[in-house]
Amino acid sequence: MTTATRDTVVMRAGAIHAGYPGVPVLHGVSIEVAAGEMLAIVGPNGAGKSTLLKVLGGSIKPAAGSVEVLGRPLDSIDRREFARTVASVGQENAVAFRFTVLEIVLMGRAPHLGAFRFESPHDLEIASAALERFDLRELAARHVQELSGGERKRVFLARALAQEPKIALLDEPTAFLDLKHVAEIFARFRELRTERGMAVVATLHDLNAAALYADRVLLLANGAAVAYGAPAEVLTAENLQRVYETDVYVGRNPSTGALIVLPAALPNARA
Amino acid sequence: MRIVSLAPSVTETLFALGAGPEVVGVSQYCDYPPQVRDLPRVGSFLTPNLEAIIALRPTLVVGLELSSDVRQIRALNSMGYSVLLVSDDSLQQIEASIEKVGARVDREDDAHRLVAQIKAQIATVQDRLANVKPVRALMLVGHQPIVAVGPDTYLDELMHIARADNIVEAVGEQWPHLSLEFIIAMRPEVILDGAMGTDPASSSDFWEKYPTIPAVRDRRVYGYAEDPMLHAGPRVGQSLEIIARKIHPEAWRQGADK
Amino acid sequence: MATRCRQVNAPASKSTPEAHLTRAALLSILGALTILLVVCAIAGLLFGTAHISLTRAFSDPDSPDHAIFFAARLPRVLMGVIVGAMLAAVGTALQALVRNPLAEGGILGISGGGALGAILALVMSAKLGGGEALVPLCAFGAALLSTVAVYRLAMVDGQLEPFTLLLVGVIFNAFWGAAIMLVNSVVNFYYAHSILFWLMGSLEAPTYREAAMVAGLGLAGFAVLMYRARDLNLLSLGDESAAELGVDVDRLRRTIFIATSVMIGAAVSVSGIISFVGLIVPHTLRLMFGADHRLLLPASLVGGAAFMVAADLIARVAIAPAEIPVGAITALCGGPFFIYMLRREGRRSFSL
Repeated sequence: MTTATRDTVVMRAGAIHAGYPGVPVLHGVSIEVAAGEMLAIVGPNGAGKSTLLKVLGGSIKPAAGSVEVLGRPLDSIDRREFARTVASVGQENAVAFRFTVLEIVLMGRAPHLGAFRFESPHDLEIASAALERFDLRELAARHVQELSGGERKRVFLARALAQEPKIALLDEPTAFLDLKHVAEIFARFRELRTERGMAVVATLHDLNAAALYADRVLLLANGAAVAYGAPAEVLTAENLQRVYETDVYVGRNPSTGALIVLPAALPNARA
Repeated sequence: MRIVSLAPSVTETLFALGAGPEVVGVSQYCDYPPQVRDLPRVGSFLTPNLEAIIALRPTLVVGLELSSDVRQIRALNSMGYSVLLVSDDSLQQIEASIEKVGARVDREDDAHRLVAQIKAQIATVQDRLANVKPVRALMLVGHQPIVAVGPDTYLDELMHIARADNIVEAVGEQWPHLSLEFIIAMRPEVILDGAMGTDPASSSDFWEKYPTIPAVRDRRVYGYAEDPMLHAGPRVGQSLEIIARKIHPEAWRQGADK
Repeated sequence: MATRCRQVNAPASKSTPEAHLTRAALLSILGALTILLVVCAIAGLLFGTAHISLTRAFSDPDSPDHAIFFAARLPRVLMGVIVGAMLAAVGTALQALVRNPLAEGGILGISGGGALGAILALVMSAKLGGGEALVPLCAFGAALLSTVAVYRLAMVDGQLEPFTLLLVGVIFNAFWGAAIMLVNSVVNFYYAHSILFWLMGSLEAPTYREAAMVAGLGLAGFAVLMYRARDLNLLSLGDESAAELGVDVDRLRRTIFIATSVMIGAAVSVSGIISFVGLIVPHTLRLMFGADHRLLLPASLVGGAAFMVAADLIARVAIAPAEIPVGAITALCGGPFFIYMLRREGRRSFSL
């Protein structure tokens, strides 16, 4: 495995203005992601986190601004090549019809396969490894529709992994997951970042996870970047109080030294 | 010859011409003359059963012009079977059909005789009705929906000969669906209702509800049996007499015979 | 078939053969279904209104047995195979397209439009003239026009949304049904039989030429569907996920819709509206063998053919010499069977 240098920029978005018909959401947001890096996008509901992720993933075309992947403009890249480079996992993980866990994960190999080619042993190995990594070995033959929300989330993460992407875009990857699996997901992605130089961009509602695992954090509010940089720089009491409109306590975990963020008091009662 | 008939009127014609012994298969609706009850059935003129027909190894299949588009008829034609289609929309067509069938089964003389017989029957009835005044009449073949006998049908022609003015004339369709309003508005003096059958006691309840209709008021609503009225074959003369007797019973009261 | 049984606890080996589609599973399942089809076809050829002797049919070209076999039974069984195969394959593809197991050519309003076109052509052909080909051609054309209409109406902001598509289809169906009733009530009741033919479907007296034409269109359409089988799998993950995996979703939708419309148009033009085949066959096969369309599409093709031939056999012999419209048989068999499957599987089958 090649270890890409942390200085190689794999994805760059410049001055993105984007939204939905009649509803502008993002106003001039720029980011940069390097190989092996994890960028956490945080902010209140409606700030534009998912929208930004969708712009990066190519499903929303920005009204202004550009996205570059591995140095090339996004719209110049063929769909399937893009799918081999960037993998996205959305918030909703619905599956119509009775597919098994393994079949879903194997779907991640689709961008690598031609129309009539069956999955090869190599593809099965990759899928197996992805199942293994997200603790899904036991569930391989189960129907996805029968699984819990958390299990299904892991299946979709495994599918993204099977795509062998250089960049993973994850929208609320820890929603539905219990404490054990939250920690594991981040641990797995850290492994992938070190082993393969995979870059991860994740929207998180959990500020502590962002503080703990991300290399850089983007704080979004009302579609604009409020702060962008290392967690300690971005997640300050001042920034957070302004953005979340509530008192916040920012400190250090006495045993680990990690940055922690907690609400300080109940919001003021309405007059 | 091995003849398959696809319609009751055709079956009657064949038997009337004396070709009965050569008939090997009939439609499911054929029931006259009584001998045909034992013959194999092959569907109807609109839904002929191809396999059943072929299995009888016919040398002639006779049906109605109405079925010329039916797939099975086309299939029979393309397989090389001899298919004769006749029409029965008017007296003239009925007579021509009898001649055509007669010619096909080598019984031309019998056909001429049969047609002459029918003409004579019709002439007799016409004579009886020479001086009667026409009445406004309505003839129905079904209820729900109410379907009436319209222009360009042989029954309409029979009504004319029987000195009846068909109130449906203006509608212009052969078998129009009528509304009760129309019937009430057109005030027929006689109604022939096929749905009532021949039982004089049955379902006059239906018409009782509309006493403004002259036919109802004067108790001139009559039922009739499907056989022979709805069979456009050799007994058409008989059908004419049945209609005429119901519409102008007075023309028979003075006569010595019935 | 044992290779395809679902196991709750997968063995802890490198790859679990039961959990996904392998070439071996594909071939063995298709093989088994083909055998089933052959059995049904043979039954269809052996039985009918008339008793025939196969030996005489083949040895004596002048015998009625020969005529019945080659002119009445064989084309009919062939047509049953072709129409059944097409309707089932189309059902599978449409269900994938709208991510709903209730979708079918009939339900999306395409068959209904085709039937209306045929009936109008039939009623007016007396005045317009036009040969044998007029009615089937109008059926085909009307089916395609219905497709365009449904498609246009169901597009929301340039996107074809599954739920809207289903809704528009249901509305169109109601409309076509009403239009057909209207025509039925104003025309001479001698047309009633023909109208019933189009509404209930029938495989009466097809010609080899029709069969060849429909087969040609059907195979072309099916080839298109098979080519996109993997993409149909991906579509089950949702439009966005499918796009993220490299699928051009709009183009896929349009392609599938056109291919299925051509196939349904061809089927309706020769046999009227036959419902339930496109629902029962794919659903049953999906429950038995999984949802992978690379298997499901060809399996539906073969399974649909077998189902149709069997249904037509019943239609022909149940009250011989009268015939029941084959659409009535498929509905009679299909309805209760579907309810049984529903109760067995519960709501899980329909969760999206």
